[in-house]
Amino acid sequence: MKSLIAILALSLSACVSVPVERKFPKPPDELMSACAELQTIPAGTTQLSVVVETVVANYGQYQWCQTKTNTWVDWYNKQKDIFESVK
Amino acid sequence: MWIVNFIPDFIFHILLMAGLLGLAGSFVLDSVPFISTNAKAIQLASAVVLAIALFFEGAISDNDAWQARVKALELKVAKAETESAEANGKLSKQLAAKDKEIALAQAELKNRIKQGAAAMDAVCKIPTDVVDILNDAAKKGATK
Repeated sequence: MKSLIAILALSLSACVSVPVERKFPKPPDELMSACAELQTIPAGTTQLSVVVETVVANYGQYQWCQTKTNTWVDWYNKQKDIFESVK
Repeated sequence: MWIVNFIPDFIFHILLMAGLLGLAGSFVLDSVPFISTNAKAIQLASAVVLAIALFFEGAISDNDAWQARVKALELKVAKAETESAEANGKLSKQLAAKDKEIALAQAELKNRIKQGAAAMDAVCKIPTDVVDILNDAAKKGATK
C-alpha cells in the first residue's frame, strides 16, 4: 500500500498542462459578409436598356462574389502555410 | 512537472549535496564515534535522499528543457500571428482594389447604357417572357 502511494505520488508529480495556446486566425472583415442576391428586372419592362442594365449589375455582383471566393481560397492556403510553419 | 514548480530548486540541490555528503561521510569518517556506530542507517538514509534528489534533479533538468521549448513555441506562435495579420492586411488591400475596379467598370458600363439607351430601346422591344425567364434565373436556386 505504501509503495502504491509512493508510485502514485511520483506519477502525479509529473502531471503538467500544455501552456501554449493558439488562436484560430481571423479572416479579413470584407470576407465575412454573404454575397448579395442577384437583381431582378422590374416586372412589365419592355425596354432593352433596363434589361441590359440589370444584367450588367448582376455581372458586377458575380465578379465581386468571385473575387471574395478566390480570396477565401488564398486566405486558407496562406493561413495553412503559416499554421504548419509552427512546429 | 508541477511539484518542481511548487518546491524551489535549491531544496533539491541541498538534498543532493546532503545525500552525497552523508553517503561519503559514512564511508570516510568511520573514526567519528556517532558515524561509526550508525554507519548503516546513515548510508541507507543518505541513499534514499540521494535517489529522491537525483530523481528531482532530472525532473528539474527535464522541466527546464520543456520550458525552453514552450518559450520557443510561444515565439513561433507570436510570429505566426503577426504573419497572419500581415497576410490579412494584404488581402484586404487586394479586395479594396478589386472592389474599386469593379465599381469603376460598373459606372463606365452604366454610362454607356445611358448613352445608348434610346437607340437600344428603339431597335428592340423585350417580350415579358424574357423578363420572367431572366428573373427566374436570378431567383431559382439562389440561397435564401
